[in-house]
Amino acid sequence: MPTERKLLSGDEAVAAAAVDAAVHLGTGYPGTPSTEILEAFGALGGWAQWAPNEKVALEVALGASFGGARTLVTMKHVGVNVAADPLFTAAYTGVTGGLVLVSADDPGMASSQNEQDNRHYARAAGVPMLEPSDSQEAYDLARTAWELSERFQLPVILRMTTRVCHGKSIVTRSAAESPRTPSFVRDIPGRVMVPAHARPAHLRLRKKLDELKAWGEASDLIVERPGGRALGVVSSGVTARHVREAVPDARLLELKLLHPLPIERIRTFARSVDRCFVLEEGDPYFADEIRAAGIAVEAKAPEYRFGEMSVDRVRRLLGLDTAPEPLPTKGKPPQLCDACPYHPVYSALQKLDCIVAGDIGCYSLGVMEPYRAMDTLVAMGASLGVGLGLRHVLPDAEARRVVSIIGDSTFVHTGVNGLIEMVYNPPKTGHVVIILDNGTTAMTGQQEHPGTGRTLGHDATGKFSLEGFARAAGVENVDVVDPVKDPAGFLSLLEGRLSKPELSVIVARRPCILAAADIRAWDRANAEKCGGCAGEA
Amino acid sequence: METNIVLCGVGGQGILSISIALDIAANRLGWQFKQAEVHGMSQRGGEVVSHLRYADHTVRSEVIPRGKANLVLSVEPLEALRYVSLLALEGALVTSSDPFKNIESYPDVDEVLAAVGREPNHVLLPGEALARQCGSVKAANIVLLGASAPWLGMPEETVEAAIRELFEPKGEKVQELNVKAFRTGRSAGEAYRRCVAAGVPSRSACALAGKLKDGLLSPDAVAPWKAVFLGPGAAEVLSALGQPGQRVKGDAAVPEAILAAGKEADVAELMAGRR
Repeated sequence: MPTERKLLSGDEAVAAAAVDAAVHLGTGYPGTPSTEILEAFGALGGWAQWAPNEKVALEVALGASFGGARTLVTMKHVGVNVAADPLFTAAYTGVTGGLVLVSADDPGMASSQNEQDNRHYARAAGVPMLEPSDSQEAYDLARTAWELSERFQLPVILRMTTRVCHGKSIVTRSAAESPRTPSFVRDIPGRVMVPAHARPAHLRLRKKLDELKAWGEASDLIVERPGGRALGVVSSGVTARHVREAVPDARLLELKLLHPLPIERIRTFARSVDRCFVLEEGDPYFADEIRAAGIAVEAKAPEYRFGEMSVDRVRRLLGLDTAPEPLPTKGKPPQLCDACPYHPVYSALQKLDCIVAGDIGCYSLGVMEPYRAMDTLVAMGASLGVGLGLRHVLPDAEARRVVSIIGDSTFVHTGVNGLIEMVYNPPKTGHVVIILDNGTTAMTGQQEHPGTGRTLGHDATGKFSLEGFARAAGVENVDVVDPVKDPAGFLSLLEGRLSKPELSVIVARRPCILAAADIRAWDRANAEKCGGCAGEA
Repeated sequence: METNIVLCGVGGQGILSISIALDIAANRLGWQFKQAEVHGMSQRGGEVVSHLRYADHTVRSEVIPRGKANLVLSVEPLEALRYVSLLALEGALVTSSDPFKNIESYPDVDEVLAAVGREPNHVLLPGEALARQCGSVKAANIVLLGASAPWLGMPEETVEAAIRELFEPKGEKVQELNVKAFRTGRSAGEAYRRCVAAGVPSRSACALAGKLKDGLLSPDAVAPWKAVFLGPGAAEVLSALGQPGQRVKGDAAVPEAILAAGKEADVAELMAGRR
């Protein structure tokens, strides 16, 4: 049994917990700040794989769980939006092997398009949610999450935030479990959610949540830290740590179980102090529910809904510091790497004054100076739909300037759906889609995806063909070009495609400058491993 | 005992390497610690900041409150100024003078460095020049770590051992290069502070410290250097210090020779120790 003190990030701690909990399969889609979990799980010997998107990842995990295996699914907060469809019904079907979904939220948007508070998902879907405040708790609560998931036969969300995911502290691991052998036990009414089965399933879910709530009220997932009766604070996660530093004398009720909320414990706690304050990062999730239960508490002012919580904010919220909050200093923005292969693409888009429906990835940085060549960015894969919508309604002269631009990994993630829409409902001016294929999920730190033909661990596997998919879908013009080799050729190709009322996909293919050397090394290693079959072919 | 350090710079400058080295050191000492970092967009030239807190008791929040940092260690001068408000009254600002300009609105570098120079307790060093002296410009981060030695709150041997551990996978040559960078940074930082305390203008002290061989400056050289920098030939000396190449010996003989030679002297020759 490993008992050494190890310095781990929250992400690494979850990976270690997955190994020790004998998790059979880990899956997910890269997204800051969750990405390192699966990478670390794979590095520790776990079975980890990237899925094309979060919905598929959750479905793979759910199937494995139906088969009796413990599973881990990881994603950033916005990824849960993509996985929400199976999530809500998985709460009805329940699980067999423990299923833990890590939702890595990003308050303050260190690298995200929004700062949605995924605590709402637990209540909306009706699944338990746990939240750690540092790496040790990430380890311990992840272990608890798999146990809870099996005990109540529900998927469990482990909600983390950027600070906990990327913060590092000492972790001591506990005893590892031994893996079980999956096997299939048929349960048609339990897993086939036709309305006749789903109605009783919903009742079962609510009953499970009642039981879980009763269990939670008495569990050690609610920690009361002693302090004077003058001030009591209800908090969770990293905010609870800020509270302990800002007001060490306050009585603190620290919630590690966020759903179902242990409302009776909170009621008793609120009665035990003169002044009870709810301190939470993001939305007033606790405050609203606690007040709805008729408990009088103070909560933060609306302006503190934005950004991260801190020791200073806690002091300000409690009235211990009356100076106004200083304005955040202006940050230094990231930019495209000097040798990024996308420069000629953006230069062409700028030259042709295109209306650019953009997408999420490194290439989002085309919005920065000197190009300013991106007009919309909404969600993963949205460039296609948004581009098509613009094409549909704009006057022809303007419509002909609209281009959708999307990266390789993002295209596989959810861009494919938009491409099908383009073929099915083509704008009368046609449309042009540029797939920026740098052979990696670059923005999150160079992860593999189905289009690279390599697994999470960089071994050779089946390769999804971007141009093959576009041709098979029925796109009229599909070109594959290297924009760096021939920038002028790229410009004239784009100009030509824009001038025709046809559907065009241009795959601009050139490896990411940061990943190119690694990609060459992985491919070389894979070719050597497979020397025999290459010789035969 | 509690030490709070803000590490900052931009993506690619080795900020996280510094924090890992200090993590290793704190772990060797058996201390409690927490490290918070913000990265994600950082790879592409954006700001990187890491909060490091270590103590012989439990560390609660991983984010350093305003006015509680013992040290802001920056590999970029503008980024350094961003976090000055976190410094404790007796806290120190240690930064490289090498700007990383990737925004059009980057302020005038002289103003930025002057603002650093106005901090009551600070060290301003040409990190890249000193790192180059040690064998690689990439070691600028470790040079600044060395300059921060007085505020790290841990024995220098422990930090050096941690640097060796951190760079172990890269081989002995890289290990020794970085240990040299740490020692050079520590000496150059000391030289800088001695000069500034004696009344040498910040920019002059910075330029001199960047040229000193191994960062070493003899205490008795401070007064004559001050006379040089406040004297009539200061501009010429500064310009010579700004040229690449040639290191300057740290003894008093060099500034004394410049003073003795007067205006007609070949300053570069004198600084090289040749007459």
